[in-house]
Amino acid sequence: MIALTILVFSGIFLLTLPYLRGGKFQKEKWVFGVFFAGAFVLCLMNAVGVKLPSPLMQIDSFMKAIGLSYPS
Amino acid sequence: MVKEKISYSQFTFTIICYIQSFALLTSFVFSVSGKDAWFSVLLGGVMAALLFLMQIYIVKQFPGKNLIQINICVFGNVLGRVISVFYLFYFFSLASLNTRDMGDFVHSSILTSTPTVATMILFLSVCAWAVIKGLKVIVRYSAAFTMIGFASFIITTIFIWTLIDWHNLLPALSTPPQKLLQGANLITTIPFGTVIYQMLAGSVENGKHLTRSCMKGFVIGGLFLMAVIIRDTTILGNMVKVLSIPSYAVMRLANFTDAFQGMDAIFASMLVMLEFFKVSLLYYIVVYGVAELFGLDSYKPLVYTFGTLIMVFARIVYPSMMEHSLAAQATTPLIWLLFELVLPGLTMLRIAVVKKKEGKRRMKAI
Repeated sequence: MIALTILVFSGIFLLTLPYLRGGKFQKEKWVFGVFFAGAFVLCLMNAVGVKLPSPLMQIDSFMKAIGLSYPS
Repeated sequence: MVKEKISYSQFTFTIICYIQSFALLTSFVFSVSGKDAWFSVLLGGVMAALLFLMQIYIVKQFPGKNLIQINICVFGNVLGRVISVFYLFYFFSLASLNTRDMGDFVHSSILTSTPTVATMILFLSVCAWAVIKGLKVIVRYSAAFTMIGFASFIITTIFIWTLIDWHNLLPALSTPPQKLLQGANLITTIPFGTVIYQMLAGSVENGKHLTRSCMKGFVIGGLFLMAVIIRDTTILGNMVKVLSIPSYAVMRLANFTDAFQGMDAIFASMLVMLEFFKVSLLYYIVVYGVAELFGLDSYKPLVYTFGTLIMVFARIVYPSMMEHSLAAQATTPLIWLLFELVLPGLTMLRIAVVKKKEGKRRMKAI
């Protein structure tokens, strides 16, 4: 699974490269770099079996805790 | 960033297609309102129409601008961007949830031995391809998808006509009023998702027809949804409350003689097609919005990276279909109201305050 993740991200990097060529895309390179690194870390963690928290489940719990929910 | 222009008829079909794709998730409203779900759709439709008019009013104040640009204009550079992040989180969540729904549907009904993750990777790859091609390409097929959706609905309903029992709708309105209102809230926020169109309205070629185009799409899509809900109720009766995908269960009953079977396959293909359209549109909105937020020249470098993020989020968002369905009934309609009602309401309020101040200034100058 880890190898597959690395392979997929190598593919994504190669596919994105044509859109980042040239000097005028400096900002694009930075933004892409940050999101790419973040996505890679998240996917890797998911691949090795780290239990990532779901933001929507956290919001759900919060809403229920403050009494903002419909009765099930 | 280069803004792609779409025609107003494409915009209308986009709205219809977006609403049609809710046919996969009718169990959300059925499990709340039961066989009176049609009334929740009616009530929710009226509430959504009011929200729609509010969104159109906001868009008309800033011709040619999308939601992110409007937020920056109204709330300023910092607060506008912060509010835009919230909206982008909403669109991102919708893209992930719909990807997950599609994966779960395919896994539970068609490719039962294929892992959901494999289906989702393939599905998102096709969506990413569409997003790279741009908005024009995504919406170009909306008319064809809508027509296929209508044709498949009409054909399957003809085949199943003998099973329809109108008495299944009776006794009408026997569901408690609070449940009907809960169902209406769910319908207002989930299938109609009116704020999404604010991201696209700036790209419509002829802004003059915006209201007509929006309302036409909204009414046709809403009527389609109502027809699906009524058909499923008349065939399944009280069973609609317990099935995870009622429309698919109806299709499994639809066979026209022994030689002409497999209506469920037609319906499944239609649902996957509509989900493809919906996820591609949301995916495009997310990457375009992020690029707009950071002031990039092109959204294309972000497309594949965001595909993986949508994928990871879709995997972790809810542990099962059941958990998703329960959340969709209890809390999701209230959370989504923040994006559909509260934030647009604040935008409208701010516009009104600014207009009033400008009016006073002009009066003083005179």
